[in-house]
Amino acid sequence: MSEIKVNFILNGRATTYVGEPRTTLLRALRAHGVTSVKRGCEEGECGTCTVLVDGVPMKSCMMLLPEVEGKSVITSEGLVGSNGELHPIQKAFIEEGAIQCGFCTPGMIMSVYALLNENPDPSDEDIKEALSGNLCRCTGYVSIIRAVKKAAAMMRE
Amino acid sequence: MLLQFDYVKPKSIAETIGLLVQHGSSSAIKAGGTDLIVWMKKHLIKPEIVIDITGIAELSGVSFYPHKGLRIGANATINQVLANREVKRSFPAIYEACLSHSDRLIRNKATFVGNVTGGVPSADLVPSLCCYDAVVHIAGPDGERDVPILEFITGPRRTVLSKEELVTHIYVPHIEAQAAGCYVKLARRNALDLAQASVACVVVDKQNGKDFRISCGAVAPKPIRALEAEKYLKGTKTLDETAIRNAADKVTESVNPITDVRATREYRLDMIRELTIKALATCIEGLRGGRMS
Amino acid sequence: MKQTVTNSGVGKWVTRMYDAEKAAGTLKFVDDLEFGPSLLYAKAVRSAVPHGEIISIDKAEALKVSGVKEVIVGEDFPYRFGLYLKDRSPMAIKKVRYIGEPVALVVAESEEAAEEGALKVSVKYKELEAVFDPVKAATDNSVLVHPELGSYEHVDFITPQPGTNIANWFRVRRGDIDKAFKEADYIFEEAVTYPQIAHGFLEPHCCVCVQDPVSQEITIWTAGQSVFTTRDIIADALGLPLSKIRVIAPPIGGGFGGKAGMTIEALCLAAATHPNLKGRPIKLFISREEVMLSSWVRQGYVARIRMAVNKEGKILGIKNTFYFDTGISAEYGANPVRSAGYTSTGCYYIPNVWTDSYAVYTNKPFGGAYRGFGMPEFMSALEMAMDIVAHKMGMDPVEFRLKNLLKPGLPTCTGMPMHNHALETIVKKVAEGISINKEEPAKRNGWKRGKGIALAIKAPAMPADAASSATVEILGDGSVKVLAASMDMGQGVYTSFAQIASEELGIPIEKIKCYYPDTQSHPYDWQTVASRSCWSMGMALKLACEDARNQLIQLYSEYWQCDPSEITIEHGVVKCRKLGKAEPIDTKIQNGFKMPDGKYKGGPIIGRGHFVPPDVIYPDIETGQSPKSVVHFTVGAVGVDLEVDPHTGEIVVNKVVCGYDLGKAISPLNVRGQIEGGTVQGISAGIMEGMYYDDKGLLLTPSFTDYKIATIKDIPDEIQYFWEETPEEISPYGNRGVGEHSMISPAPAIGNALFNALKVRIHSYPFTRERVYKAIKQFDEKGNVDFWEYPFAREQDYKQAIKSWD
Repeated sequence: MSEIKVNFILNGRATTYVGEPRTTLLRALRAHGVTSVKRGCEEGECGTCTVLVDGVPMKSCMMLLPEVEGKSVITSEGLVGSNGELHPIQKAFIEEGAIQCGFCTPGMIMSVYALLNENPDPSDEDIKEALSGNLCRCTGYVSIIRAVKKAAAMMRE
Repeated sequence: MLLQFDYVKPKSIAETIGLLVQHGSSSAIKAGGTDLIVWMKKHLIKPEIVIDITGIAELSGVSFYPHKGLRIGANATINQVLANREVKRSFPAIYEACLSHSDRLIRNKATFVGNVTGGVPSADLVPSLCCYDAVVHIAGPDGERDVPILEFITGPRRTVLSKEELVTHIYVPHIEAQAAGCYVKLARRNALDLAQASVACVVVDKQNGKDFRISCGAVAPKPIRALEAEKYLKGTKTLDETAIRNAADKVTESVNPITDVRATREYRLDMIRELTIKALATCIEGLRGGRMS
Repeated sequence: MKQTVTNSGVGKWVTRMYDAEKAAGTLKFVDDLEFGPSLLYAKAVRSAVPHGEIISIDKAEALKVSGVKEVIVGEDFPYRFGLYLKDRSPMAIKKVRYIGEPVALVVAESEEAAEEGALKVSVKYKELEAVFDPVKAATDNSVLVHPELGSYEHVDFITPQPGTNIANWFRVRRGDIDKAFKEADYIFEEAVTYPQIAHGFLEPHCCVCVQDPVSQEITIWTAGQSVFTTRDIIADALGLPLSKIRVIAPPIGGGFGGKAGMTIEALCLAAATHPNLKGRPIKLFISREEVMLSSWVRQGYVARIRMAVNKEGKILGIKNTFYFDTGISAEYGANPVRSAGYTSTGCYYIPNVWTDSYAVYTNKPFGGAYRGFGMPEFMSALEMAMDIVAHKMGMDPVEFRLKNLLKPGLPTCTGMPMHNHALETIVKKVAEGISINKEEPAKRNGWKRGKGIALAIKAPAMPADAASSATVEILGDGSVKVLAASMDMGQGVYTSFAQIASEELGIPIEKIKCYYPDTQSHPYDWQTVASRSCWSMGMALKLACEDARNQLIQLYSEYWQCDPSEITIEHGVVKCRKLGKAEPIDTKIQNGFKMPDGKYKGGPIIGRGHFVPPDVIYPDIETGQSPKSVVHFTVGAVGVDLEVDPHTGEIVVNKVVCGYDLGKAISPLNVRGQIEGGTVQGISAGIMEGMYYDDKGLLLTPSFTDYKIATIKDIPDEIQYFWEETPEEISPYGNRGVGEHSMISPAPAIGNALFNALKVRIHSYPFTRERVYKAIKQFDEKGNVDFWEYPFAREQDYKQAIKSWD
């Protein structure tokens, strides 16, 4: 069983990864030092490994390494400016107390990022639909909904 | 952890069939992969070679052909199906089934056709397809063939597909009349869950009377249409509460659920009755309200 | 006069520490740490039978897998571990006791190789009869899970019963219970059940261990709530000095009690201490399925409550029997059993009490700490029983509760006088918040609406000598290093600590940093459990800050030649208004002050503080009585307005109103987070969560596919929260714990609201759609108001079980 070489863009930077085809994108990213994608269940049930692949939010545990060939992957680290400036979504999460343990947070933020890209003024129902695949055990989601609304307002300005 | 496998990404259907002929039962086809990866992780299947068909252009896309129908390619994701406006307008039961499937992130990856080829009794998309008389289009070394959805799945995780064949697309014929449809699903929570029981219903308003099509999910080893109930409804003049209840009883008689950790057989039977009542009421209301295709 | 001024002190709405890194995803959890190429990976081979003798373990095929270094079995690491009762070995030795128990550990160069190796280890068993039902296990000794129970070491305050399956028996004997029942006008008897549930934290357990082959020193990086307790349990079991074990806890992705004490560390150590592997770090990351199977869960629970009540609605006596299903180990689970026992009159004054609270071994995954620690289980029973009694007596459920309320000064069931609290105000506010007596139509067509209330109470459940200590160092630029070994597992305790330091030192919060715990650097703290950190560590930290502040002021008063009382620290600037002096804190603080006589004085300022509860006395073993059995109680109430679809059993919570008397909110943003999060966790537990097994003891809900927790679509339409601040006497700022309390009573409030909506009483939690539907159907068909479904082994239905109780 041979190793394969896969080229993709990780947070704007060209990246090459050599590994076995069975490597999931989740594991490949983590092997690359990307700590924002988490191993919560590795079965598509929790959403802690959510990333954007060519702009589309995906659970990276549900993607095999070769599938990412030639694609662009954005993780929560990739939303941070070069001087460490946080993205408005990240800021809103902090301001609204939408983070507790932080394990679901980066994945949750990527789902929010995808949502606000296509819907700058989402309703509660829109938010719930977009985030229904990202589990959070700490916050009870209430503060997350507040944060999404705040982020949306910040980004519309 | 996934066991080791080789990975190939053919460029054409012919190449894929060649690979299938060569590797037979030691291979597995991957489109979205959301079932495949989980099953491989749990070691329920152990393919030595994974054939990724997502590079095959002819297998992509969701297209609607007026007066004909909807063609859903093997690589079309569930969200791509949802994004096609004609699906919501003309195939509401499919639209609702898609929306009830897993969650938005998984739907970006999971394919529509994959939900069907998995052959799982709780597959959300199958009952609606049964109501629309969908046809599964298969390609293999001996050519192509069409199999009605009801015949395609033969049992839990079993289909008519031979190890050398693949599904290229599913075709859903257009209904040339006013129609309403819906998919109602019961699960343990409101998102990202498998159906405990589900009912798809389509009502077609024809000149010679209404046509009823009812199918159920998670309550039988393979796809079913509740033909007795459909016949009863067609022959009933006034669709009042009693008629709907009688029909729901007939639907319940046509299913044969099991007890598992998700629900008992008894609950499933009762829920099929309840969901049928809800689905019929929704469709009849939809027809009155002009929800048509 | 207060000598410090800050805008980020106690009670201020400030944002949280480490949130920026969490948002970006750059904060490193254990699984994110890098150890280089010497790292090895471990994977457990797990028992396939619920109870059996191990005949043989064949390692040969596993050792052939490329990359596999070693296969370790129970006999290679024959130590027993446990916080309160040493009944657990990291791997089965000679005998397995549940499906999922580790029987071997494969160590390899990669995670994949370890798992492939694990698949190839073959184990042969001779199966033994197993027991899954805690009531059967407690009342019929035909199967003993631990025949060796009598030989296990345990702490004094737990009382295992050798020759039985009872790992702990906690008793309360107060007043004259027989007289109370003789004199009662009414006697009620109710039973309630709750299955095991799982924590559902999103970060699976992960740990890395290494032993230095020369010094024999052990270093452990672990996703744990309790670095010192982990250290102490391991040192005790292995007979090593504390100084030879270093435990480091990087940030953890949720704990809820599931990462308290010692969990998977000993299993990892079995590899790290192996002669052939010593010196190489070993990583043990367990999968979600293994988390469900082999890290502890909330114990299953069966309660029978008898109440003696007089015509006026006063409760004269209560007789409780609790069976906690603790699975194969009670090493930690022995203690929630005590917690429920010594709080077994809930929020009420009941003069005559008889309680038997048992931890019962069964052949299932084991129970331990989970948010609420015995109280969600017990209050789910008591608050339902209170509601039933009120209804049966034709009394208003709120009035009945208030009439029997444990008012300040009245004794609890252990005889300890209750301290001041605002529970009566809270109950009234909650009842009003959901308009409990106002019948309102359902918002959804054909649904039924109902309202219910449940009270909450909990004391920190911990040994009487659970101590804390902290140090505070003021650095040369006026920033502050806080070493307080509580674990911030998401609850936000470091923000609270920074607010305390800011308050006491007059230094803005941006300049204060709390570090994640490491036994090498931090002074001792018992554990981050029991909602004790802001209170116990808060005491130590406040003292440490005072110590540092006093040192600083003393030095400045000599430096400026003024009276210490004339010095203030305002937003990080030291001032003497009288002399017109103002200086930001600078390097003098670490290098020393050049005093007027030209000589240097001072040096780094390090404040220290320590605390142990000064007045707690263990309850008497025979009677449970003690003048002060616990440090304090946090009380509260939850009101639920819900509606239910009688056609399917689906519940939608329209609104939750909840309030708690937490003494003082040190960090309001975090208090809100604890209340909102715990409320949803409690609702989730109440309506969908349960661990179920087949008749062979196989877990049927081993992953998130079938163990469902609330998604964002399952939350209430509205959560209204408030808190009261009745100060606690022995407390840094009057504060009491609040971390666990919000999870205690949402479930019983839902149960009571369901009764209000349906006139059906469901005695078995959780209120899943199927169960609610069945209850309605049974009522419609047979007129039965009470509905039961016994959650344990399917071989035995509820009717049989209840017969065996007497």
